Amino acid sequence: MKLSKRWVETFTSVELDNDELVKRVGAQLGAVEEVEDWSSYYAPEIIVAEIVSAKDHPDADKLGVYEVNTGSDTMTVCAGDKTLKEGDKVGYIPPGSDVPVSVRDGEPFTIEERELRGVPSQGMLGSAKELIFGDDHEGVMVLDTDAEIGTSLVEAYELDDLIIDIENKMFTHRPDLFGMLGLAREVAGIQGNQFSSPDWYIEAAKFADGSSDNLPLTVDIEIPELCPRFSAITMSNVEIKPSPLQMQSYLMRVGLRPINNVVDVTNYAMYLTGQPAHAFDYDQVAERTKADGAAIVVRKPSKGEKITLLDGREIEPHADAAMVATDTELISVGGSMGGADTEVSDTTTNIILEAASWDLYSIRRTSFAHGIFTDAVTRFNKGQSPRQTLMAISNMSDLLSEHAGAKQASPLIDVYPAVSDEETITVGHRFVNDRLGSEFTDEDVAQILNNVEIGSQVTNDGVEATIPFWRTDLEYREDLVEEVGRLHGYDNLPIEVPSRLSKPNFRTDNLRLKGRMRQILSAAGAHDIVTYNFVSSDLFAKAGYSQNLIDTAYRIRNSISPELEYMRISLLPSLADKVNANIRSGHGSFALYEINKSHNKEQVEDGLPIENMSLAMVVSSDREQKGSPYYQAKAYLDHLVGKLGLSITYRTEGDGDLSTPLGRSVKSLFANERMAAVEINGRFAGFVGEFSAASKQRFKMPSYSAGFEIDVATLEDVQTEYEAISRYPSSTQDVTLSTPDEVEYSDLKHLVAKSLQSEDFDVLVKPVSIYRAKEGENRRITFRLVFQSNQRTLKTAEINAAVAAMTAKTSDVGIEQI
Amino acid sequence: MAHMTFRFEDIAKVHADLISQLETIDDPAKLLKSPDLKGLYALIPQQANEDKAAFGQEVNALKSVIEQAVADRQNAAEEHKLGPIDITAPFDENSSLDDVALLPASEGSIHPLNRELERVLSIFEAMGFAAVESRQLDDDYHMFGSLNFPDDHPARDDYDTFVTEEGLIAPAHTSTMQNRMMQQFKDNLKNGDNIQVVVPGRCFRNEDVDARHEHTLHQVEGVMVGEGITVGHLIGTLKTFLEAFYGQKLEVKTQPAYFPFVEPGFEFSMSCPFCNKKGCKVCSQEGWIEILGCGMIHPNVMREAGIDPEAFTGFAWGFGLDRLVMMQYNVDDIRWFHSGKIEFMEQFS
Repeated sequence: MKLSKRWVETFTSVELDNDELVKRVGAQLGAVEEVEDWSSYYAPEIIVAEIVSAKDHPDADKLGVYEVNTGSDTMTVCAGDKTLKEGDKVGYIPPGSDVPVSVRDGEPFTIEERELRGVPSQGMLGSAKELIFGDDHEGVMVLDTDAEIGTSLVEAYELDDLIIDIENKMFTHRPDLFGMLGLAREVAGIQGNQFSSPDWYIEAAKFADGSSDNLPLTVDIEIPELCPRFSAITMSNVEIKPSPLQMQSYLMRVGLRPINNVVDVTNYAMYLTGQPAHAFDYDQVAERTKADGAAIVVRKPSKGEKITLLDGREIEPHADAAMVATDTELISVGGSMGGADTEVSDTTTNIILEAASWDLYSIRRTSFAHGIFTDAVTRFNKGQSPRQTLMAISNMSDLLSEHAGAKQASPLIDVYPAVSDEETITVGHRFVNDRLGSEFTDEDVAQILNNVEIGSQVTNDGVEATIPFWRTDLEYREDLVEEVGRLHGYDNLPIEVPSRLSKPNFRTDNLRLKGRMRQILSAAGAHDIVTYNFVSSDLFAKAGYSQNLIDTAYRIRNSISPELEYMRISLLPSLADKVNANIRSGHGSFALYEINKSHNKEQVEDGLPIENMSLAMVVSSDREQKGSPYYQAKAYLDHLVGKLGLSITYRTEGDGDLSTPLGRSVKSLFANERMAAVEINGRFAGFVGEFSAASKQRFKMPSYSAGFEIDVATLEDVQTEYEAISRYPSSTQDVTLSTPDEVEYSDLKHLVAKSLQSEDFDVLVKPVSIYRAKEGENRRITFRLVFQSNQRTLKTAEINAAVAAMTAKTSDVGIEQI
Repeated sequence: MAHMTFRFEDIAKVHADLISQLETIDDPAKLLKSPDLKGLYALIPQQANEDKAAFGQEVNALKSVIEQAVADRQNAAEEHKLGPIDITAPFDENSSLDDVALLPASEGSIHPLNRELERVLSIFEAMGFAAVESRQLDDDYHMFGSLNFPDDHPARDDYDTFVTEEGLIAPAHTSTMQNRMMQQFKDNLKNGDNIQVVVPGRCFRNEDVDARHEHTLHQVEGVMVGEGITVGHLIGTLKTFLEAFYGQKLEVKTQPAYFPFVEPGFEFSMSCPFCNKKGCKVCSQEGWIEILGCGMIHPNVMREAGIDPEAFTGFAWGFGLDRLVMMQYNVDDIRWFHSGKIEFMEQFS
């Protein structure tokens, strides 16, 4: 919404200089998007001049040659317009001055004295476009000013304006601030001044009664819930022509294109009050009315009914749209856009002026359903008050009598079934101070509110504020607190830190655990990355998901790209997808992990998906590596779980829980018999595995690539248990066992450790090597056994005896020492 | 794609032939050089004019089908060749512990968003705030309804949310947790303590990605409710946090702003910590940086959470972590955050 300082000044004085005004508007009204200084567009040398004589150019058909009185001199100017007459006032741009529109567009064009086909031309006579009064650049703009010849154009039309563009979203709740009157009221309030609205806005508008019923009109509202009020009046004798230049200039400054006096007046009234209004061609409406005169019916469309809009589009309005119709056909989309058939045209002589009130939700639905985004929609969907339609009509009819010679041709038709009442809110200074930390008295509060015409009186209960009709946003006492704080200036309030709590507060265990996991993994050389929740069907295909699995993923119905079509059901595919690019940029061996959430449609609680927080990792290398990459991924998992103080078990994949889509989606990436189901502290946590050949091929990963994804809920950070360190030396012995394939490493290790268990010492069993000479032979697994006692130095003989006893037990199950 | 049907008889025949050969052939890669397949290309010019394009497309499609079928077969063979492993072992046969050694610590990194979040949470913890993580998929009630956005309210237009087919919302702000936080910590009020909690989390905006825009963002929400909490406390709390985060004294200022869930609402700015208000690239020569939106919690939002807005008042804020980190490290392009690229990450190791 653009604030024009000059326009505001027609209602209230502005004592602040431009910089201060911009600053205060930003701090106390809403964020300023852009500031435009119109005085910079117009050189003071551009003046009001008068045509003294006009003749044709001797050598150019399209040029006129004019003697122009500048007040101090007479100049000869050639212009591409032969219609100017003696006595016409024009905007004269002397040599050396820049054309205003070129300054605004950032490419200043300086007028020079020059010859046009042999006739010297001393300057330029500006068109509406060149002088920024409109779009017309066909002819010279004839001025309608009474100012003396030689007066600068800036002075004649108050062009030294400052336009402050305030972000619309700041005013989503403020219908009044979509009108210059509302902005002026705030500017007064910010300066601590009393504002007074013009009489026509406050007093009940007076219209002539039924005696002047030359162009009869009836209005019927069938849907009062969507159209609480519809006010209209007809006018005859309308002479369609351009509006006064001062009005055109105001419209231009706030970004509206002048069209003709009738349309301009409706736009001007809208920009003044925030109340959108519309003018119909009366005769066109009457022609479409079966009854005598013109009949307006506000209703929903019938099935199949269509309308052609002002922008030329034909639409079939949705079934619940609030429409304006005659007793036979649709003529306008209520509050949004007029119809093309009943539009005011150059030949219009009779009009209907209308200002109505519409339900903001209905307006918004219709706007979205049909892509109608007009200034009227912007205003109506903020909730304009039904109590200001008559003010708009009164303002418009006055302006049209003045500028179009129009005469009222019907009594005011005002259909307003449920009159809305005045409301009051009582707020005490304590309520205000409790929220602002301020020290206002009731009198201070009343003063601040009264300045912006929120009629306030100090009573025994506090300040009783009568809510003016234009402030449909004021509903709660807190809304008045906002008003007081803002107009006083929040930055003038005392700042303090709240007193400290008695009770400490902490982040959740989950957040703490995530921090700890990142420390552990990144200290182990892995990179913590983040990837999107949104994934593509292409990624699902690469991950080898079945259609059943894909169907468990939430699909985004309004995604901007197929890349963001689904919510992921596990993290691992997103990580696998990041491997190739890193390999290509020369990173030979790396580990990437992410701790994040995933969702699926099968795990739902109270209507919301359970958010599965998991840790996923990929390890990858394009260097020469020994063994399956499975063991590298497992090493990271062992390291993490060990650091957290938890126990971990690797079970065959068949033991994994595939009841959740998360489990199924992770498993689908790994090679059969080269993955394990992970159990942490006895609970299934996820899968670890070497990527299948298909996964590697589809994600273009090196063959040494593996990963895991586990449920973070199975993890916790356990307090480390301290064990006293022995003061006696330890003894070490290696033992190699020939192990058939049926015996898993962990079973063997368990058997060895259990067999060595003794009250005399502790034994640590560590892996040294796993060797297979050739296919078909047993593996030779070498353990390093570390013996230690807290009581004494162990003797070699007792260690040898313990080892012998252990190998005797393994031998019983066919595992021989070598 | 393997189950694709082919309209042209010549192509369908070659497809059937090649697929049947695939089952028996020793070296499946040979199929890709099959003269039958090549011969199909020669048939393109012989097709009727209106069929030429379609025929060509089908030949190409067939080629892709065969390529994938060959790859699948090779993949299967590859895996078969590898055979099972002992999943309980610490390393593979004929290798050693050295072969599964973890990477050196110098190569690891913590993502800058997570690293800075850690710092943010530590400061708020020290200021007496609990921290709870936000949801990534939520319902309309928490995203809008509980926050005083009526259905079809135009204020919703400022939030371009992603919506699932079921009507769930990928939240556009961490305020989606406000109602839950007030409910969860309501007992604090009974005990004479405040509700003080920060909520970090991911947020989503349905917009195109470029150097400055992302559809996936990170926010930190804050909520404080208690007796006699004022706008002055709001400004004081945020100023204290920002000064701790940037390790220097800062000036702050507010601008009125509209968010349906606060009244009054503000945009909050700080003096630029990178140039002492002199004007620099980070603050666009303004000397000030608009850093967050905040306000006093709307009485309707309090009531919705079962808190009496007569007895208690409170404030809430939300700031973007991504922007904070970009400013902190001079990150020039927001897309780096989700790139997963080690060259970006290793700068934070």
